[in-house]
Amino acid sequence: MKLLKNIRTKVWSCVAIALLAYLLATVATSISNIRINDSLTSLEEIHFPLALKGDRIFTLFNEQTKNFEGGLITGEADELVKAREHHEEITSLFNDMVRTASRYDMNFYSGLLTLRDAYEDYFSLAADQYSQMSRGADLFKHSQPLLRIGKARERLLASFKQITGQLTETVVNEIKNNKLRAANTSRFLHLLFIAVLLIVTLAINLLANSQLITPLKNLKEMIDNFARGKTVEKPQNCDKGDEICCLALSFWDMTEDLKKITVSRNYLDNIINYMSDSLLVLSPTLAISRINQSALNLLSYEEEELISQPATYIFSEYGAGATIQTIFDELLQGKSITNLEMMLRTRNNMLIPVLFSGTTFYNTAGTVEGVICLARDIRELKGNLDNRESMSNFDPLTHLPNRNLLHDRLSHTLRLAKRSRKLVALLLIDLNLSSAMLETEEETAKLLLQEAAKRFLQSVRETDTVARLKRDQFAIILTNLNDQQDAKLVAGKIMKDISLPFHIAGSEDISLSIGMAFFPSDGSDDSTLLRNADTALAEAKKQGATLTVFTTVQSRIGQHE
Amino acid sequence: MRKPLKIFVMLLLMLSCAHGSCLAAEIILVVNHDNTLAGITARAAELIFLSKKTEWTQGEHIHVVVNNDPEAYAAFCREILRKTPLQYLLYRKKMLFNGSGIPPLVMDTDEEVKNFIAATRDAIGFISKDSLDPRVKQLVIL
Repeated sequence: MKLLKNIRTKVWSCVAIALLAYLLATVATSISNIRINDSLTSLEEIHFPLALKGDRIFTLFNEQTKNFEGGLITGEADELVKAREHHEEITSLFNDMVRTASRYDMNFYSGLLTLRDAYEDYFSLAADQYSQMSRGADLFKHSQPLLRIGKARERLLASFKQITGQLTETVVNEIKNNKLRAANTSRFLHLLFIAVLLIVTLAINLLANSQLITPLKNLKEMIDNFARGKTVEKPQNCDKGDEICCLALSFWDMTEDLKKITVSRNYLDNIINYMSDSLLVLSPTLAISRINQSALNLLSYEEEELISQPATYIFSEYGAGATIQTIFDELLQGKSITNLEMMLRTRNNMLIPVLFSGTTFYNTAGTVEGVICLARDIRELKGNLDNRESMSNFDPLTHLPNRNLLHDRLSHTLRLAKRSRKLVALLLIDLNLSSAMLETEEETAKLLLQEAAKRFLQSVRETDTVARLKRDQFAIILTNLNDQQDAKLVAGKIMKDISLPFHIAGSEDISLSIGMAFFPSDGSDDSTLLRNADTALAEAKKQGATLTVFTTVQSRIGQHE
Repeated sequence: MRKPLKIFVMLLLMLSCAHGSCLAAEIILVVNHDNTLAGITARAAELIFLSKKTEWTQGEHIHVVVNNDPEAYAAFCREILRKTPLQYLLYRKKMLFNGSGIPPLVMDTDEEVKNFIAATRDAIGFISKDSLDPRVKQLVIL
C-alpha cells in the first residue's frame, strides 16, 4: 500500500479506522434520535392533542346527555341551555380535531368528519325535540322521535368511545414505539461496538503489521544479518517521505562502507600473514602485540603463547642479554634500526640468526604507539647449517660468546660509544695455562676454564661482554666508561678474583696477563682495538702476569701491577 | 266485647293479606285468552312492566299496556311494582329518553285496556278487579 508514505500517515490511518467506527456509531445514534424526535413531535402536535380533545368531547357529550335528560324529564329549560353551551364547546373541539387530522391521516380525517356531521344532526334534532317536550307535552305521545333520538345518541356514544379509544391507543403505541426504537438503538450500538472492536482490532493489527511492524522487522533482520556477517539486501523502492525505509537505506549505505573498510583490512591482514619475513608489532612497553604467521612458523609457537609476552622472550642478543634492552631503548627513543644481526629463540630453545629491522610508530597525538619489527631468517645466508660452531656464536664449553660474536659485539659497542661519547675498554686476558696441562689433563682444564669464565662474568657489569677467544684466552669489553681509571679498577678486581683458590683437583695456580686497549684513544674500529690490545697482552706476558695498557706500551711509561 | 273482637279479626285478615299474594285489593293483571299462561310470579310481572322482560316463554314479544286510570295506575304501582306512581312515570320517561326498548302503550281507561288486550294475543295489562269481564283472562299472581 504505497499510499501511506511516512510514519505519520500510517499512524493516522490506524487512528482513522477507529474514528470511522466511532463515526458509524454517532451516525446510527443520530438517525435513531431523529426518528425518535420526529415521533415525539408528532406525538406532541398530533396524537396527544387529538386524544385529549377526543376525551374531552366524550366527557362533554356525557354532560350534555345528562343535561338533556334532566331537561326532558324535569322540563327545566336551564338544562337545555347548558346542553347548548356544551354543544358550542364540542363543536369547537371537533373543528380543532378535524384541522389536526387533516394534516395527519386522511382516513381518520374523513371518519372524524362523518362523526361530526352525525353529531350535528343529532344535536339539532335533540335540541329541537327536547325544547318542545319541555314545554309540557306528553312525552308518551311522541315516543317515536324520542326513541329515534335516543338510538342516535347511543350510536354517537359508541362512536365517540371507539374514536377516543383509538386515539389513546395511538398515543400509547407511539410511546411504545419510541421505547422500542431507543432499545433497538441501544442494542444496535452494543453489537456495533463488539463488531467494531473485532474489526478495528483486526484492521489496525493488519495495518500496523504491514506498515509499521514489518518494515521494522525487516530492518532488524538487516541488522542481524549484518551482525552475523551475512549479505544485507538493499531496500527497494524507498519513498523519500518513508522514514523507516530511509533509515534502512542509510543502514545499508553504512554496511557497504564498512564492507569496503573490512575488505581493505582483510587485504592488509592477508599481506601481513602471507609475507615470508617475520613481522612483529610490540607495544610501547615492549610486549608482543601482534605477530604474523611466518614468525609463528619460524619459532614454532602458537599466537596465544606469544601475545603479551615481553620481546625478550623471543629476541635474543647476539651477545649478552642486556644489549636487547639497549636496542629497544634506542628504538623507543625514535631511532630506526636496519639489518642488525639478532637471534630469535624458538620454542625448542634453538637460536635462529635473523636480520632485524625495527621502527617505532606513533599515533596522531605524537606518542609512541608501538614498535614494528621485521626479522629475516639468515640461516642459509650464514652458510653451512651443519657446522654448529659457525652457526652458533657461542663457545660450547663456557657458553661465552666466541670470536665471531665478539667482533660483532665490539663493532656494535663502538658504534654506540661513538654516539654516547663514552670510553670503551677492550681487555684481552690470558690465563697462562701450561700446554702440558691443556693436553694431558683435559678435564681439569675444562673445569678451570669454566670457573675462570664464571669469575670473569661476576666481575663485570651487565652491559659488559665476556668472550672466549681461544684455548685460554678471553676478551672483555667494558662499555660506558667515564675514564680509563674505571677500567683499570675492573682489571685489578679481575686479577684479584682469579688469584683466589680454585679448589679443583690437579689445578695449577693461575696468573693472568691482561692487555688493555681503549676507545677512542687506542683505535676507533674493532680490528684496530683488537690488534692493539693483543700487542698490549704480548707485552704483559713478557712482563709476566701483569696488566699492560696499550698506550703505555706505546709510550713505554707506567707499568701497572 | 264483640265489637273489639270484630275489629280485631278484620285487622288480622288485613294483616294476613298484607303480602301481595292476596291481591284482593283492586288490581288484576289481564292477558288475551290465547295466552297459555294462567299465572306469573310477582317478580315476572314487575320485570315485564319495567320493560326488562320483553318476551313470553315462546319468544313472542310482550305488548305492555299501561293503564293511565289514576286509581288503577296508583294501585298497580303500589302493589305490583312497589314504586310510587311518580317513580314509575319517571322511569318510563327515562326509558323513553334513552331510547332503549319499546315503551309500553298508554291507555286511559280500563275499557281501552280490555279492548286492546282482547285484540292482541301477546298483550298484557292491568285493570281494576271490578272491571274484569270475559273478554280477557286474569293472570294470577303466583
